[in-house]
Amino acid sequence: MHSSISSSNQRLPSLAWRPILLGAVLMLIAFVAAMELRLAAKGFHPTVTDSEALWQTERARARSLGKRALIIVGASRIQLGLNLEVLRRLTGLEPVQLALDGTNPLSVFEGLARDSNIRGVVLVDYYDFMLAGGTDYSHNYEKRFESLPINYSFPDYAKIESYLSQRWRWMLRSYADGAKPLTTLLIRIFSNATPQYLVTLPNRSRLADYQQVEMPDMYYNRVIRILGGTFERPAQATHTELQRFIESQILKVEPHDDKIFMSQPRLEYLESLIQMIRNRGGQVVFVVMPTSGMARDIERRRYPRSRFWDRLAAQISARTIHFEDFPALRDFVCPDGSHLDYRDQVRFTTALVAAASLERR
Amino acid sequence: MLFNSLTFLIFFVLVFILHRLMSSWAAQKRLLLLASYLFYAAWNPPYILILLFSTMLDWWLARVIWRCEDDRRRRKLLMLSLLSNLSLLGFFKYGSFLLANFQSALATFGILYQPPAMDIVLPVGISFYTFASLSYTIDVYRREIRGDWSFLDYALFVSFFPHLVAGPIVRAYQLLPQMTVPRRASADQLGWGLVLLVIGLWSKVVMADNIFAPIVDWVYEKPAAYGALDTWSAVLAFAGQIYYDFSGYSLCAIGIALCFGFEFPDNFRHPYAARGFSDFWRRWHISLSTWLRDYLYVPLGGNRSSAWLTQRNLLLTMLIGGLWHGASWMFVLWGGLHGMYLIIERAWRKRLGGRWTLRRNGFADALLTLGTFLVVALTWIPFRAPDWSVLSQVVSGLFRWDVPMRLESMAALVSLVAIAATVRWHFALRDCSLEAEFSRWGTVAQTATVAVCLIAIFLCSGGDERAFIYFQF
Repeated sequence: MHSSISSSNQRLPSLAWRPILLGAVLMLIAFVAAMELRLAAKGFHPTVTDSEALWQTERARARSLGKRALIIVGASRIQLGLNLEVLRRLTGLEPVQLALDGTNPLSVFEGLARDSNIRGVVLVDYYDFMLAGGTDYSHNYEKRFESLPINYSFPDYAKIESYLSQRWRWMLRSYADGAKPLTTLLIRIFSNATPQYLVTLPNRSRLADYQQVEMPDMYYNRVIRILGGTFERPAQATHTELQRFIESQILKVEPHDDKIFMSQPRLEYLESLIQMIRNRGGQVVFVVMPTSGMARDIERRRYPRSRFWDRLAAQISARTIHFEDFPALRDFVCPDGSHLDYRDQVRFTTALVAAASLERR
Repeated sequence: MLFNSLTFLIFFVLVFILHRLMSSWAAQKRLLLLASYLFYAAWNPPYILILLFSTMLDWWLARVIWRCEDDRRRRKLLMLSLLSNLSLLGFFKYGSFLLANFQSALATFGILYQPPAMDIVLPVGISFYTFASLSYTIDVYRREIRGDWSFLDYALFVSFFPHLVAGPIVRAYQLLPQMTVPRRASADQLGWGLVLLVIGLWSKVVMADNIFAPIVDWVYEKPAAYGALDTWSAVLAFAGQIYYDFSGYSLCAIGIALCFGFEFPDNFRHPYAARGFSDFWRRWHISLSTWLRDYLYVPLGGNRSSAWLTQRNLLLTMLIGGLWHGASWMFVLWGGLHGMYLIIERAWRKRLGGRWTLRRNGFADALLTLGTFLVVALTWIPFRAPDWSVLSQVVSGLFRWDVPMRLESMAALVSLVAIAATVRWHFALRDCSLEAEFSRWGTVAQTATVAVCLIAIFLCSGGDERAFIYFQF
């Protein structure tokens, strides 16, 4: 015979459940509301988490849209620089943001070229190091996407959960920038964390509000990051001293070897990728996004136009746009030297669509 | 589909509303069956076919066994049920393991055998529903339960989504009779069910995933890099993680079932307050330990024969219990160690005889409880370690006192305080149920407790999604 096994039901508590449960839920709502109000007062906004799952969803959308797709590949400059709503309105196409912060766009571009379903417009945020290749996390994202079944857009559990999770986070400031609410409580409410200047939207585009950050400190930090190298930053220097120091470091920047970066086989390989997309009826546009100040100086010295961009533009069949060549694009100022402020997004996007002749016909 | 996911929240609310709207009991059961298969298909749709096959086969075999009067034929039919279920379990869960061991065995004789990789995906929850299903055919064979249940009732018993993928292992005699009477959750069932769901989610999200798991993951990832303080912290933290992870799942399952008017057996009863190992197994994963006792230990002879045979039965039961958790020698070792402890404890009790009066002595009682907890916590090392190398590094790490602490001290301290509080809480409630303790509090304290759990779940949400540990078993 079976031994007896007690169950919860045999000892069910008989309590005033309605006040207990309602009271608890009301206390939760009050707590969350208080957190949200405090965060709003401190200038925080909800963001979605720019996760791999979200990128995979957009990548699958790029595949399914066919000729209606306007696919953006690149890194942070184009992710912060374009307004997708304006792009949609002006071009009549469906923008798909596939740019990934801090990556070389080549891996994703290669994946798009090999994907026979990609037949729309591909807008490439060009960097002069692009042809050097290399495998960063964008390579892994693309490879993992390619390993998925072709019907990945079928709404399975992982996709539904990712979608719901993104929507939920998009509603609350407590999750801003992918933080857990506990981290937000400890760092953003109980202590004075850096104000939030970046907001990621559900369509993966980003808004940067540089009025929220300490300038020119952030500008100098960005320029030093672009400079790279192992020089020692002067301790407790004034802004003027730091400016002079960075300028002196920029003067030491040597041009990269264009024989490696711009070798004929690499240019031919890039052209073959462009041709794959064009043969399917698609278009490819290469864009150099605006930079300014010392960041621009570094790039001019490191990648002289005549040896990099101009050679590329002359040898590939894709449309090429360098911001310096278009009056409507050249006057934008990047507050950190490398990225546009969200206030410039609409004007820049409108000018870029005109420069690339992508207006709705 | 994880209980701690937004998808499950929506799924649960929709199924609950539809269930309440339906007036026909048969329609409610059909809805729950459909929802259960949907719940399972969310993980891997083709694998519902295995679940369906196992369900149909056992339902049909049990009917034949029930009607048959010929004992030899009945035994053959039972063997068919055991063979088919255990073959499925063996193929999916132990196929690759057996092959790898066969390969190693041949290699020791200098024979190189390189079979193609099997690449088998383990169907989630197969160990749980196989054991649930087997309990039915065995009980019908023993004539302890009827074998003529409708297919709808039987299929719902096997696949009912709260217990389907990670238990508790609900036995046929516990759940099938509940299918016959129309059930609608009473206010007490619904209220307590929701409270259990909240406490279960708090256990998983806050305690297991946020307080204990980071400490465990850091140390077990590179055990050689950590010294004694860190390793002890991780070993004790894993005792907390495994308890809150699995008991949290069980509480969620029991709570969800209550919301639909069904009662499941308790699966944990303050296990870290156990006085000795036999007491531990009366408190830890009760549904598995009683299953193994009733369907393995007792049929092997239990303690009805010589001392040697009793010891053999204990060890065999625990070894198989260890292997049930996964295809790895680590689980076998873990089960074997517990088997040894039970044997030693049995011999010790026999020797002490009437002098086994520790319960009357508070200090000795606390010492025995703490000693049991410590040995149980150390025995979790092979359960958590993926291989012998990690196991030996963690064990040697327990004695590396010359290496300074590397873990974030606040996280380690919180984890240690949490496990100490857990043991203290278990000790205080050793002979009391959660329901009785909760009922003793006033309405304000009850409301505040549920609210604190909800707020803590919210604060700890939004990190990496972790599956329940017992999903892999």
